[in-house]
Amino acid sequence: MTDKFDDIILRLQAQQPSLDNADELTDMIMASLPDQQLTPAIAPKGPRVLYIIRNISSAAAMFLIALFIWQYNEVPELTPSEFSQTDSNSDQTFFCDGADRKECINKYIETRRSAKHSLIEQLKRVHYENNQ
Amino acid sequence: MIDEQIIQQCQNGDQQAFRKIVQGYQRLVFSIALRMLCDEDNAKDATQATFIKVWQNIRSYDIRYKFQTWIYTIAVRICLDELKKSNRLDPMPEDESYFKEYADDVSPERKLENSEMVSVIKTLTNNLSPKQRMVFTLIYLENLESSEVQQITGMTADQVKSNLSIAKKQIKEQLKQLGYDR
Repeated sequence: MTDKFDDIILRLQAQQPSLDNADELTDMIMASLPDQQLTPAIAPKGPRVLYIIRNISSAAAMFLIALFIWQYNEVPELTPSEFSQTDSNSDQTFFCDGADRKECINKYIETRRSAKHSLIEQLKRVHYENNQ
Repeated sequence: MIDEQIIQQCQNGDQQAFRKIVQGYQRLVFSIALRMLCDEDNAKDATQATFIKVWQNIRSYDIRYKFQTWIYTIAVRICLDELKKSNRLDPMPEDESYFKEYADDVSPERKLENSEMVSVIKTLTNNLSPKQRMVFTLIYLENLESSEVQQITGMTADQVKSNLSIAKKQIKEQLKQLGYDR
């Protein structure tokens, strides 16, 4: 006994849908065709300005990522512990080498100002030391 | 069916050449649309939408590929979108009674009217998802090769096989519910 599924499928395969008013359908399709000139094969994806802005933004984003990776992996010149050691040693010399008290204080302030490091450098040092 | 020269004329904007393409392929597109959508008016609308898209994109058609497969691809995508919008195609009681009459018919050569064919397909494929219906229609009803179906649907061989297997299982289940165990 043939499987009912196969039987029905075989019979359906042999049946083609009929299209009685084929000419009418053709005319309807032809009448509804849009102007091909207005629909080029490759449609522009958007205004040219947007395309340029998108490219510049992509390049800038890649530059920032590369910069971050480069900065992150860079080894600082001095670690915090080395820095504080240098710092405390230099503190002692301020008071020892100055001729008078005023000169010593000025020299101290000047050195402290030059010793101030940017936040990113301090973070880098802390991060580097934590990884040691 | 259609030679390269006609396609090139269409690519240059020749509407008379395009009429030949419409006349040559509209039955094929209408057939797949009717079998997938199970509605004659929707099938005609889908046929019209297909040829409008073919006309609009004919300049990007790559002559190395089979033209019929390219048209099938456009038609099937339009029908699939339509199926996704309309969700399920629930059969009416008269569809089911017609299906039983057809299934028990002892004269398989009898030519079916479109409405009768729609009733049979609608009842059989009631529980199929749009993708399963698409694969089932292309392989079982349009009798296409699996490789061509992969090209048309963009599915892998495994995806086609899996959708077809589920579709077959669901249809057999439906047949069982209608009282056809074998």
